Amino acid sequence: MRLTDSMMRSNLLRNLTTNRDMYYNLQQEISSGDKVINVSEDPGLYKKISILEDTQSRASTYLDNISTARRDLNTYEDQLNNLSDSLSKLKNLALQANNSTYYSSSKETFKQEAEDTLNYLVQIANNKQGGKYMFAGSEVDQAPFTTTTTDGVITSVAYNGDNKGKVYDMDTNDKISINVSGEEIFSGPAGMDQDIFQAVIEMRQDMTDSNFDNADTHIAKLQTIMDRVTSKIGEIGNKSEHIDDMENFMDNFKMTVDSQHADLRYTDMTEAISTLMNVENTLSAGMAVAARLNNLSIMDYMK
Amino acid sequence: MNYMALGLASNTMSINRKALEIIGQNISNANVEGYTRQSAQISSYTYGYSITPADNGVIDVSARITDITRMRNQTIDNSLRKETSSQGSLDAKQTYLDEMAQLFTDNSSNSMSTSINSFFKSWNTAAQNPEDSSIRGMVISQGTYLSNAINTKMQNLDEMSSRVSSDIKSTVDEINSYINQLAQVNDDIVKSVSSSVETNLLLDKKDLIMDKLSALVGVQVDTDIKNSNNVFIGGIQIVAGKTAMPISVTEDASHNYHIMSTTGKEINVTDGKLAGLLEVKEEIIPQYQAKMDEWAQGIMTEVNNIHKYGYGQDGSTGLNFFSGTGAADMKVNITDADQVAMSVPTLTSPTNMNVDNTKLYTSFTLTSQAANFKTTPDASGTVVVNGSSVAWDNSQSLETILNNIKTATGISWSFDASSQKITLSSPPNSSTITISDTTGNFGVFTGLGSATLKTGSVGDGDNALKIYELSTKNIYGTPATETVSGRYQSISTDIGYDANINLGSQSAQTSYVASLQESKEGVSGVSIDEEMIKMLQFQRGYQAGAKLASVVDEMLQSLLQIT
Repeated sequence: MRLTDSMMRSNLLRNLTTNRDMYYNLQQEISSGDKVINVSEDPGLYKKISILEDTQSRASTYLDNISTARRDLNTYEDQLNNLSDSLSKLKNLALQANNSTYYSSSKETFKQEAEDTLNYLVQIANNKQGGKYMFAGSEVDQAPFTTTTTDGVITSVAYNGDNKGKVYDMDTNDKISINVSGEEIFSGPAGMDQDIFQAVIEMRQDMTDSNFDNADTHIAKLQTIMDRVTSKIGEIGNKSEHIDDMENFMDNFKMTVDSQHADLRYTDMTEAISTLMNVENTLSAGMAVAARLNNLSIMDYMK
Repeated sequence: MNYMALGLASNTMSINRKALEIIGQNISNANVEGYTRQSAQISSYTYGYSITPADNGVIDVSARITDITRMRNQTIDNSLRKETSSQGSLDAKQTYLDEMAQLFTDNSSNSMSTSINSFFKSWNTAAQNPEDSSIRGMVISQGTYLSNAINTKMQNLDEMSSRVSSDIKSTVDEINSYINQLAQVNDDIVKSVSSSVETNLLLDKKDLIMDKLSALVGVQVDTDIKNSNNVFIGGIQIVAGKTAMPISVTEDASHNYHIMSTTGKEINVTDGKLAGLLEVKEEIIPQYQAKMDEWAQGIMTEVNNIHKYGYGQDGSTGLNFFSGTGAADMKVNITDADQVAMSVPTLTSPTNMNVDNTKLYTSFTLTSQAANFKTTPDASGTVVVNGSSVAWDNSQSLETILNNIKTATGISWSFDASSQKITLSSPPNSSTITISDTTGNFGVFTGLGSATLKTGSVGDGDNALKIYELSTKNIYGTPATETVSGRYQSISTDIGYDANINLGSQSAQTSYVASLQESKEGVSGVSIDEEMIKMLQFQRGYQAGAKLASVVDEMLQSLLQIT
């Protein structure tokens, strides 16, 4: 085959361009740290990376939700523990009041303590967390419990909230519902006469009247209410455990996805730099050949 | 004999000088685009009989240049032009496919996936803090970012389409320029042939024009006896000898482009840069615009279908979150954070329903709990919920009946064991719950039927949560197999594959064209080495001729001295 100068030049140029392209792409890959700069380079890999990034984003959202749900549950647990402590205190008060001799000497103290506890219970019931009333269901912008007072003393407490809880997605098919309504905790089951406020008001009234006949009833009622609160704390504990399990699962899942994503998306520097050196050598060799070819001329051998 | 020998020497010198001129021409044009190396065709010829008896009448033979040939191989030329046309089409497509692929490649500064995820994530955050107007405002902001990102992609495609249009027009202009040049060269060639003037350089010019024209559009050529070309595109003549018939491009009402001949016939362009550009303009870009439209419509429809049945904090309902008809004009319809429909309307049964929790889900039957649920025990009945009739009977648990209602209407339900209340949440396609036509005196439904629909609770984010959950719902395809993110990823990777496949074809075609180019160069290109060697050859020939003349001269002088 005849070889012309033009053929050699265009061949050389084409090969140098190919090597330059590879050099440029590798340089981009190394400087950006990304394996795929343009989806057309490897659409299959790009899709895998995109799916993993989507999964990462979702896992982050779920972990955020888990964290928020745990914070909410912890807050409810704290408040219910406070409530339980107050109910214990009330029960002790009722037990002490059952002793008429002792009670007669400290009647005002007992009454005052019952009144203070009632006020504290209302305070717990109307507690705000992050600007929201905790026990109001979905009516978070208004105090769920309103009191009616006579001569500065609470005579009744009414619930104005609802029973709607909050739902958090912890995974695509795993939701956790946090539903601790004031009605459930403080008012108790409908028609069962287990309203916390009513129980304290009645106990206070009997103390005012020095009526010890109902002491056992008060103690039993407080115990029932305490059991209800304890049961709810237990329920929250169970949910917390489930949340812990989900968090562990989601953390591990995200770690796996992060690792897969890093493997696929980011440039393997060792490999890329080694390839870059190879391409550099090829490019240098190509240029050396070009220089040599250019120096070779038949004219040098003709006189 | 000596005089004849002098003539022979003179002839030898002339031939070799002419051959050296041709070599000089080849060398000086070695780098000229389109130049075809020429070669002197030297052959022997008889110019007389020997006058010496000793020669016995042997014919004296000299040499002469019979032709100065352009070294071309028409078969290679034709193949090269055909393949150059194919490459022109692939090159044109690759330019725009690369650009589109880059446009649809997410990176740290431009990521549609981030916009999608941020949008849905904002609904999740809002679902947890529905009372917070700044967080509800974030939903509007993220929706706006997403729709702006989608609008921008469509604008980019539109701008690309406009650039392709300009490219088509300038390519047609370029083609017309070559058509005119070709007609002119045809005319020049015919005139030269008629005047017996050397036409090699004109033929080079014609071939170069044909090479360039082939890269722009696939042509068919018919060469007549005088080396004048008739050129056709898709069977329509565009050059007839010295007559140029320029083509034109027209755009119809549907923005489709038509390539027209001077006679008003539509030309079917199948190859060359013009064909590639037309494919990008009329098929590739519209295909992805349609995909983007379908994708954006999917987002708008699904989000709106949930949003419009929810309630805003200001009591608004029935509002679409997005407005627009497609990706180009999609935008957020809601401007007031109070109108973001965060909550789902609910219907809660009055207190004292006294549903036995343990029996609700297991062994509860209407008969055993008749006192609590019925004013008059019946064996069966029908309840009409949001227009759907659901039959019940006393062998079913309440759970079963409520689930049947859910299946029929999409209304979900929950039961609060402590307060003994059943709550129904509105279905995805309605902002209300109506319970009517209860027959059978089922107390649960009588109670629910008389309850007031609760709407727009400040702390209710259930509707927002439904919209967040769209992010994992398959909404594209029949049956639906792709999520919002998934469909966008498919659009991106489809473009990637299109560009990748075209690049593969382009690379293969480039190699093939390069090999044909080499074959052509092998025939037509100038090799300096070769020319230098030939130069030596003809130089020696010239020197030999001169030497012959000198020797003959010496012989003549010797002869003259004798006499």
